[in-house]
Amino acid sequence: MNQDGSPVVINRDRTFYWHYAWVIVAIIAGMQIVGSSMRMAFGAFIDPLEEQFKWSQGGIGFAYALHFIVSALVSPWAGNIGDRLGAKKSMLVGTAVFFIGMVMTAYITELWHFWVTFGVILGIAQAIFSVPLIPATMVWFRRHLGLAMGLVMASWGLGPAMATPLIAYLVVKFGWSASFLVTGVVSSLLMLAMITIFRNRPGDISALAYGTRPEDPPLSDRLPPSALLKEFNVHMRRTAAYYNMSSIHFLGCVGHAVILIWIIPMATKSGLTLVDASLIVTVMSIVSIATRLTTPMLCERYGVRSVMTLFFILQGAPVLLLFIPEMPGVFYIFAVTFGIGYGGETGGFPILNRKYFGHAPMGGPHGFQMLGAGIGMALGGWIGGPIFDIFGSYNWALIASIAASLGGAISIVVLEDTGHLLIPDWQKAEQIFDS
Amino acid sequence: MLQKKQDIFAFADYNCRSYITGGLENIKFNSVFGLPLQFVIVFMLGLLITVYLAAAAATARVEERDSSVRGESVSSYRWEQAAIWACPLH
Repeated sequence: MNQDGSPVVINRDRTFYWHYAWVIVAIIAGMQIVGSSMRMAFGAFIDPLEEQFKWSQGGIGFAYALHFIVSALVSPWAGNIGDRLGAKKSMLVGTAVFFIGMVMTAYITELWHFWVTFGVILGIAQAIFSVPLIPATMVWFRRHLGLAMGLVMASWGLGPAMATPLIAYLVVKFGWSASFLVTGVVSSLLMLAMITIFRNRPGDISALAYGTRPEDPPLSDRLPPSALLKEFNVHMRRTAAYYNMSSIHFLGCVGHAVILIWIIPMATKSGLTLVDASLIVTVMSIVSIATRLTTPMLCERYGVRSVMTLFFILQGAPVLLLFIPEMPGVFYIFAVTFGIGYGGETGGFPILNRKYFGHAPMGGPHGFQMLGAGIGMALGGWIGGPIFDIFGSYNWALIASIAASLGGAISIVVLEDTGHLLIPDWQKAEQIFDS
Repeated sequence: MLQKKQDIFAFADYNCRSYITGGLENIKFNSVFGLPLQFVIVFMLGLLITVYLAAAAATARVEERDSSVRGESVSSYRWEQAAIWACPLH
């Protein structure tokens, strides 16, 4: 802060310099890794639960599907909560719900208890964590949003890699119930510590958003007025992009969910061992980290629609390789090529939101997009089962995956031009509202 | 609604070139029940696939139980009855 109390303007066009915004990025990445750890490691609980309670795998798996569906349905509400209360209060609410859900899951005795605690309560917590956090990051960046989004999205790939072995170790060492209890308590404490140093907006620490230049008009340093927020949500819902981005997210998620869930049974049916088959998922996750990190930056530099179209095609085209499973090493070639597209598929959405809706609060549209994504994950994860039961092979599931990814690519091509805002300028509207 | 041939061409034209030229009043898109056509197509296809596959899965389960308990009538679960009822092809 300057001596007269005004915020310091750091006029640097460099992509990286020190700013509290990077602390925010680290907190948000950390929150997502910690909060979603149990979802990522769900597979580690299936056998112990089946062994103790004699529940069917389908019944246990239903809790996982329910978790995704509830999380998707709650997403638009979670986005609006984030806009109205601010990300900090939303995260506190999310942490409380998460803690209750984890502790209750540790003491379940009936299958329906598991559906309610893991499927419903932790599904709600997941939405409250994940949806307001991306808009919360966007508020801190005037420019170079791509790098910030890349780091946050890389954490989505890093999370499973870190959480799954750790939780699997806890389950083996202490049992499933103690694992839920310990992970719930430790994760909640970690999240509370991160929330303590989290700030909603740069103005909360008398700073300006990252990448602000002296000539830039000021951004508001308080929560958006509810009347203006309501009006802007109406503006957004009148644009085709608001709906089409959600359906594109849906198509992208169907495209990769089919593969993520069913690649292991496909590979084992082609003669690979279970360990070798699970390595395919590991390779895909590792490769995807690189493209998660770079895609938002590529979108800023080379045009968001072009880059997103390319990554949707890169997600769909490698699936053709799975029609020739007898080719030596085909699953590993597939893992690398698919990982590139899978990692890059999501990275353009925050940039696209910024291009279409400017600095308007993003909780509403992001929540609606996450609704599409969640339903896509649930549908894509599910269809492989009935398709295999009907046709005796996964070929039609693969065709559905390719069609979804390529359909998403076509939908991106025909989206509106990103050269203009689709709604009135939030900054000007806020200034008029204040005056 | 896309009712005429020229409407379809107009829709394609809209999708290839932006209509956005300024204010909110200029934003136009071909819509079905107030929703963009692209969104509606994706939603309907997703719904149709879900209904068809759910009914197919339910039929397969019922038939499997029938064949395992020959000569006895086997009751089906409510979700199976609902899935088969919802799909006109099953």
